[in-house]
Amino acid sequence: MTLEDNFNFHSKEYIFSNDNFLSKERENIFNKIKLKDFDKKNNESLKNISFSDLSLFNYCYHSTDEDPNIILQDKYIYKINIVNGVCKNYEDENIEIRNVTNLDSKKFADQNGNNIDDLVIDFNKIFLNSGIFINVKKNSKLKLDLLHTTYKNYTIFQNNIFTFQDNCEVELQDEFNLSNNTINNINYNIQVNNKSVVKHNVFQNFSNSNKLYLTTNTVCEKDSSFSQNTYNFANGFVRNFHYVELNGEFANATLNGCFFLKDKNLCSNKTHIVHNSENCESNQTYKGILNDYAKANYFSNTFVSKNAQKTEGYQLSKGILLTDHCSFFSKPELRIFADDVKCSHGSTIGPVDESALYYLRSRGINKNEAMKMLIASFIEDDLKNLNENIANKINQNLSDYLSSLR
Amino acid sequence: MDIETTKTLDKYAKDKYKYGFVTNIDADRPNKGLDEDIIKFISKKKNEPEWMLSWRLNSYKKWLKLPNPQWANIKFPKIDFQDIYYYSAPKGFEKKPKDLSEVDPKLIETYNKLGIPLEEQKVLAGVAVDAVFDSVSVATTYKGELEKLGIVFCSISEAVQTHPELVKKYLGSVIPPGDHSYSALNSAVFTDGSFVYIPENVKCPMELSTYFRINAEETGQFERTLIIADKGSYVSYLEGCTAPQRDSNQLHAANVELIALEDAEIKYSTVQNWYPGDEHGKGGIYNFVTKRGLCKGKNSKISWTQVETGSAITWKYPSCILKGDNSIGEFYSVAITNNYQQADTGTKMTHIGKNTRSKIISKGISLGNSQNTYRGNVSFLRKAEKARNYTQCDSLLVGNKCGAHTIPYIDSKNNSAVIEHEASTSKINEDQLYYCRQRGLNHEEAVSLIVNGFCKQVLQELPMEFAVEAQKLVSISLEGSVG
Repeated sequence: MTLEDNFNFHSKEYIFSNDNFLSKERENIFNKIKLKDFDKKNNESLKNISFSDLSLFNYCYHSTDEDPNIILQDKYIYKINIVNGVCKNYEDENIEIRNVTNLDSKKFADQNGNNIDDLVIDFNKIFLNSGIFINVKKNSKLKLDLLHTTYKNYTIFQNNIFTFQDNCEVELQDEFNLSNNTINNINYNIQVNNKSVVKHNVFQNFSNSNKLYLTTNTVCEKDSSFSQNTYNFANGFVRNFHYVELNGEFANATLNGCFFLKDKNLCSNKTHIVHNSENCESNQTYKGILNDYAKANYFSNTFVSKNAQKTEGYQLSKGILLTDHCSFFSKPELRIFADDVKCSHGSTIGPVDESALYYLRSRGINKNEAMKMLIASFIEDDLKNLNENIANKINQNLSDYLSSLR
Repeated sequence: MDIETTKTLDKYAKDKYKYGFVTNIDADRPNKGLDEDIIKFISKKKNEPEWMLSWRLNSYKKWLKLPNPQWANIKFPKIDFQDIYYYSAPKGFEKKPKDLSEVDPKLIETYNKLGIPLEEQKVLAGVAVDAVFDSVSVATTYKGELEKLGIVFCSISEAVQTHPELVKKYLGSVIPPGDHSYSALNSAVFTDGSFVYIPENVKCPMELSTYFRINAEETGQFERTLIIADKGSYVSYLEGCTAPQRDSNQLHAANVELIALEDAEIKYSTVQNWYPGDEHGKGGIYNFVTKRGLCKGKNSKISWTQVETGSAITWKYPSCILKGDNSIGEFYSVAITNNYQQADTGTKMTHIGKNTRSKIISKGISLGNSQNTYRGNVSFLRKAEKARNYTQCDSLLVGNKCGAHTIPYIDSKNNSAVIEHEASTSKINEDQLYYCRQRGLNHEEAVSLIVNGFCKQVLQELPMEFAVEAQKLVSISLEGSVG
């Protein structure tokens, strides 16, 4: 179906179709896309994704009758099931979880990240059909495990608003259990308030008929900390775009990612950190291994505004290409308007180190094994400080990936 | 940065542009604006053959269709291409002077002010100069000596007459007229520039040098340089630029093409010191230059070195296409921006052949309200086996009104190729400053020492004659904090 058909047929089903302001804005964005009134050549959101891939799909969404449950595994461990973008409404002394309703339009209208120029976010705004609010109350210490399940052929356009109140400590984990032929356009708006510490682990593994566009917009206030690790083992298309704004002093943000691609996989990554306040620190590290005909790109941007003195911003990307047919594109950007800063970026792309390989082989290890050892050591740093559950999962997936190497 | 350092820098920030004088010479120029008649006029003035004119007209047709490039990180009002003079020659230059005595003494005086080695005393310096004044090449020194070796060093309009086969073969082969709108514009209206041909196995014994100067108001300078180094040859080429101080903006859109055949080496050095505008950002040159080198043969090498201190807006990416196996591309750059200058410079290294290597060293220094951008593209195509690239770009910021941007594009399609890229941004290190002060240097000397050290990697790549001038320029732009 064309974009226009999808938009017109289903326009009553989208959330906030009752709100005049948002309907109007939707109309504007739709017209912009229809008339292709955007930068086509240097548009980062179109790298490795063709416009027709984005715009031609069969919109399919029905609210489910089944009630996805929330299991309290321990007092502080919440297992939250999200089926087709919907979860159970729940509240206790630590947390408040509820689905978005048409009454929340005001909250969405003044959502930050609205001014980010990103086509995928535009699509998310137009077709929005689900969303979850999570509010973690002051001084809570929790672990939230989110499991996203999507039924066959469903198209999810989800916008979540997560707020972490002052002084809480939260480990947030996302996992995806996707059926076949799904589109998941998920946008998070994360607010990390004063002195809060949030760890976000994202684990992506699904079959090749699925598409996942994951975008996070995080705002960090004073003394807060946000660290994110994404692990991409997926066969399907994955887009990881993560934006962070450091608004309070002494905030710090870390965005790490690893991707393991094979066959004809595509993957698009971006991290964007804006320093708006003094004494903040940021780190961006992405590593990737590409095999067969895989293709990946990584954009990173460190923006230091002129009053963000004493900033430290570091960025690193590393890519290993295993065959002659894969390709990796990297664009690490620095934009700096303050003088008292320490910022750097580094980027390398190449094969597995020949001399290391030679060393191992001269010790009697065969080529395939040696290769695996080197790749495992390449990402070992990223596997530290993980809880057991996710570490096991990653190790399992990693060994599956390595055994598929020829 | 403490107050004293800021003061030191501020004091020198008020230094005037010393090449801002105007030479009052009657200029011979047609009406403003660009159309086919102007192109025919230029072509006729230069007595060009038919094929050259049709090449120009074709380029003009392409220019009409091409949009202005939008991607550079610079802001400026739209250029009215109909409000520019496309040809301006000092009167009485229709016939080239045979020797220096025939040249207008005022011109000689201008060049003396600029310190160009045009006269005998400069013979000692061993520099062969082709000086371009507005649009016409004024005099080429040292011609005889070069001729003995078979080296052709003349203005491009002369080369069209004397070596049409070479010009025909190579002109536009590296920068096709349809590449982007400024290359099309230049191809249509280029008025002068240098042509160099180095025959097989000849090592050019001296540095060849060109000096460009925009004199007349509202003139655009569109020079075209073509350098061909035949098998096993070597040439080092220097280019310097200045312009008078004026309130209106002037456009400079040059095209430079280098071609290195098997085992040949070309070293191209630029000291660019166009008028940068005043401290309020008024006036100055728009410097939109396309420079591209092609390492055509095996084991060839092209090296770009540039010191950019002037022009209101710079937009320049000297690049290398590494086509021959084992070829080498190098890029060394220092870009200093002050007041309201904007610079978007960098390079493009395209690795096509096997074992090709490239190295990029870029140093950016931003002061005042300026914006300094490094934009580089390194790409390894599928057949670029064992290719290697190393990129380092460092930025230094002084004050919090300026900006430093680093935008590298890195693309690898070959798994045996290795790319390394690193960049850093910082201010002048307090510890280093403290250390120097402790050793008895005053603030000015200390800052100069550190900045000099910061740029050293690039400055040492310049030929001797130029290194001195470049250091002087750095000191003027850096407000005298050097030496």
